[in-house]
Amino acid sequence: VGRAIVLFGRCAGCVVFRRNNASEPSPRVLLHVSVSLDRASARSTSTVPRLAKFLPRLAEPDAHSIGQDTAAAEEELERQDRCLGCFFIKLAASDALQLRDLTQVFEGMGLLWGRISLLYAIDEKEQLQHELSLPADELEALVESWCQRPAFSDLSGRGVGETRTNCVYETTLLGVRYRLRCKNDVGPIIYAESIVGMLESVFADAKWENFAFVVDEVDLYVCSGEDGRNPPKVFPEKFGFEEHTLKWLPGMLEWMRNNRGQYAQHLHELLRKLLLATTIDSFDDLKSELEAWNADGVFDRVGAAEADFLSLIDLIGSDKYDLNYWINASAASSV
Amino acid sequence: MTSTTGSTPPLHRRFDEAASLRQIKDRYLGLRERIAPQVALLQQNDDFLSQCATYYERGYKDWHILAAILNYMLNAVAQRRGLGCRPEDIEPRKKLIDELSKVVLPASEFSGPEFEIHFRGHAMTCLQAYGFEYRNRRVNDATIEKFLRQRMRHYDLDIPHHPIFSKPLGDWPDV
Repeated sequence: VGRAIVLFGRCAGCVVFRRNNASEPSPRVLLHVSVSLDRASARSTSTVPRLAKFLPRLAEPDAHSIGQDTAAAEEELERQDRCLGCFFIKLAASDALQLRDLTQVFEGMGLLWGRISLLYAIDEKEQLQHELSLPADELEALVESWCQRPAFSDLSGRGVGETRTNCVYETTLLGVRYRLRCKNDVGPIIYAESIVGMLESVFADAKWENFAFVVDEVDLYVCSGEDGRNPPKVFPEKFGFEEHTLKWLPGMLEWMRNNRGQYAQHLHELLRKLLLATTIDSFDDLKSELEAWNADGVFDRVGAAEADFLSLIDLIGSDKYDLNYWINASAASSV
Repeated sequence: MTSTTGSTPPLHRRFDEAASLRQIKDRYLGLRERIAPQVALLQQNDDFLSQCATYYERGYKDWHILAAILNYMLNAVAQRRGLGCRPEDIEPRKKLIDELSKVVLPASEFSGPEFEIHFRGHAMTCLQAYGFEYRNRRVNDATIEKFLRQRMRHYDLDIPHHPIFSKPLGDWPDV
């Protein structure tokens, strides 16, 4: 689906195709069309391969004007448009935000359902209500009806990880889903992997009955920039309520390498604040739990993971640490 | 990369069925002493009884509903007396609980979000009673309720009795 979106974007960039009915329908007409398309959409369960095959045909600029029958293509495009709609509804808001500029692209291409669902996914609901002349509850009901479609359950709800601006790591431990997005750059990746490694290490031996988690989801975003900080500040009140950005200064890898003690302290601080913010166990209970972890060598394992990552970079080079290097078969090492 | 560890949440180590039942018993005693006249009035109100039917469906027990009634009354009386959250209001607020037995509010007041918010207040109070510390300034009601339901059996336990707010009307449990 990620590739399909890129292709859509490229098509739109060339302005090679515009559907016959791409002139703006009235909102009410749009809703009427949605009902008539329901049946078509219900038949479509496999989306991506068909979409990819279909796109070259769309690139014929004058197919309709030279008398070719484009009815089947029209129907397929509308079906895929609706599948795209299901995809954006399912996509995490943070991922959808990265694609927000596509709303204009979709508008230009007449991909109305993709546009509506993307606007919905990035929380532009007021704009949608205005455009569609719909009250909030009817908009929710409309979106809810999309969630019942086969395409919605078939789609993964996430973009492709390694080839985009950001990578995503996700792990569910003792009922809490940790989702780490990070810039697809070696420093943020190492740091994100360290956090995942730390969480999985500490909770590997943890007894769930000893922790009262009152947060279902923790979202972190790792990046670097001139307004960042080494190490980044941790704001525990964000855990469970909003994505917490951990922004480092450029050259974070060198800082991590040269300040290993401080870096380990930072990871411990992050863990401590995470625990305090996501649980309601008494401070004394948590303290005794952390002491038990320390006695079991849990924190040694946490530090070891990060040291391994850095050693690996020293060994193979940071360019080869990128997963994309290894995905590309033609770039096999000469060693 | 996605991985999952653990799927079925166990009871929390602080869960103690006998202690929980003792707390519930004490709550019934305290509530009866303070809000029995208000409860008698509410039992005569069909709208409130049908509202309670939905509370029972959600798994709420009488002691949850009674505690929400008490909390609502405390808040309503405090507001009418102009007591807010200023430091000088704290002591007078604490004393209000002893006056509640003489207060009866119209049954129509006990509905809507203004009333239901007090279920949340009661849940937060119970967390403290179980020995937990809520440290974040922000509260997610759904996850708190989920924790209490799954890990503390907070919505399972009760002193056996016919529900006070369902027809035929039940009575206070024999505690």
